[in-house]
Amino acid sequence: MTGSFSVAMTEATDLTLRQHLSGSDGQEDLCFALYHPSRGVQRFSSLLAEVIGPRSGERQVHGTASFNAAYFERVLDLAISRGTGIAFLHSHPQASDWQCMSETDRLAEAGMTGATMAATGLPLVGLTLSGRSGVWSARHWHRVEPRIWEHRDCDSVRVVGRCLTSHFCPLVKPAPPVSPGLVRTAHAWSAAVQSQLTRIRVGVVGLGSVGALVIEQLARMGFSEVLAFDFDALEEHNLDRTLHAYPENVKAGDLKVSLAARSSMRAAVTPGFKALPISCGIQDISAYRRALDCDVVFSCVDRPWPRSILNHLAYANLIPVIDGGIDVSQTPSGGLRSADWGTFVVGPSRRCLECAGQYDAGLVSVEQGGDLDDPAYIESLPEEHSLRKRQNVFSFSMALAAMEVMKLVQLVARPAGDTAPDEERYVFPAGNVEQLPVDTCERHCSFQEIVGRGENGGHPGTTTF
Amino acid sequence: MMSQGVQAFASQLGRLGYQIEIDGDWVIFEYTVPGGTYAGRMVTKGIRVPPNFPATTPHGIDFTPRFENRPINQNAGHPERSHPSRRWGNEGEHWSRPHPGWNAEPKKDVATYMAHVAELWMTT
Repeated sequence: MTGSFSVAMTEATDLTLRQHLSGSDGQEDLCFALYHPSRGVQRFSSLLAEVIGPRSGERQVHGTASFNAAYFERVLDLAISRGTGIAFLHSHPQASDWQCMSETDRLAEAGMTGATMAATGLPLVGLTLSGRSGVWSARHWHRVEPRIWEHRDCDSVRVVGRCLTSHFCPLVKPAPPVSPGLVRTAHAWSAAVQSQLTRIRVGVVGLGSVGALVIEQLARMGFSEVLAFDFDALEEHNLDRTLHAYPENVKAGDLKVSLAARSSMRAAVTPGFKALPISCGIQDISAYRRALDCDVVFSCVDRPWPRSILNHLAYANLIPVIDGGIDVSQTPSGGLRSADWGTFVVGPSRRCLECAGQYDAGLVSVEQGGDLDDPAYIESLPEEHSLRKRQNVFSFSMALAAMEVMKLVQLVARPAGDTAPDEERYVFPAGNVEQLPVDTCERHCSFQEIVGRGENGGHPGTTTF
Repeated sequence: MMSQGVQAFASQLGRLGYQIEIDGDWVIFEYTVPGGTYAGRMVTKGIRVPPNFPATTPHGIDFTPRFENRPINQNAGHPERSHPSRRWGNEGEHWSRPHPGWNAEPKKDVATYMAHVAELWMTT
């Protein structure tokens, strides 16, 4: 088994588990949960979906904790009927760090792996909650030869909702060193926050004017791994807004994503920084699967189809998406009336991009059908239609890109205790910043029905699946 | 995995009593215009189904034969008139009229979509 492993859950699931596993009596406890798989190109994520607590008599707490076969068999039946995998969770009340396996723990989990794999076709996942610090640790179990099972530590356990909290395995994903070039950045929010931020694997979808500035910021802030997605080649009309783009790049037919990845590698301050260019749109299933390897994704696109796919990614796969947009309004004579730019943070416990009006769902299938690349179709749209607007200025893009990256900082570090707002908007030239109050999705929003369902959450809307 | 895309659409449309043909991501069927300017006319209708239907609503409708190029049902944000059909070219029409409030619909199914299609004809 190659690649890496991760576990993700919503804040609601995290709370339910903590309440069960951190009993007030200070003893160890245990329970099971069902998980949906979410398979990227390099990472297998287990998305905890449903906590299956013990019924009376199914487990015993006696300083440590044990359970009866009937409990495990009930969980197996539930997993088979729902098409999910199984996670086994227990607590170490006195522990404070990422937990390695004791021999007792190892034997308990190893004893369930064969039956779990045979019944569900999915590996058993084990999690431990450290009682003192609240740190999660996790591992996946795999067969190495007949009747021999080994576990591998996950990279991280991610808790996703109003915030993004990552518990990293210090052996698999150690904190990158704070190099001399990063001292002032780390001092701005502490080395602890820096180590949380910079271990996050970030996707940037769309390497136009905003995306190129987002990836540059990530490289200079000390992030260690970025995946960049775009299929477009640079054209002359991009030169007024694209960082590091010059006429020779246009002449050479450089792809935006190659230029951005190359430039970010030069700008990077963390040794070993990786920027992986993926030269296709997120509509392509191979790109979508790459995005499943990310912990958070920046949506720097302006079309409805990729936005709808990223909306699906955020909810089904528990990967927060930070979206942005710029709207320029002109006077009848063609002068600038106003410009506003704003960010949207979407994912569990937040309103989705569609319900926030950030894309028109009716236009998704228009784009899928190819009409948005048909000049005759675009010309036939009403004059004021957003798809006919092409105005933008480098300064607007810079302001939006900074605003988007600050949303990631808020999501992870919660400066002053505040997480990222769902929606924030800046209005030029008035100079107002508005943080819109938390709102909910439409009552029947389909994205709220697929939260944490991973591969069982349906077709993401990509070209193939 | 839940049933999605053209297979889900065709299966539900069949249950509504239509004789359907599937061609790639298109569903083709005979349709009698229920009201409006063209009430009672028979057309061969084609609907191109998104791969993630019902999460995403179809773009609009295609049909043949073509009618005169007059304004169709008004829907802010979409072209005023029809375009040549994506399936039948100049022998048919394409109406860019996706369902305007799909995500808020309590039932995201073919019956709801076909009610929207009927409404398009009746308001044209």
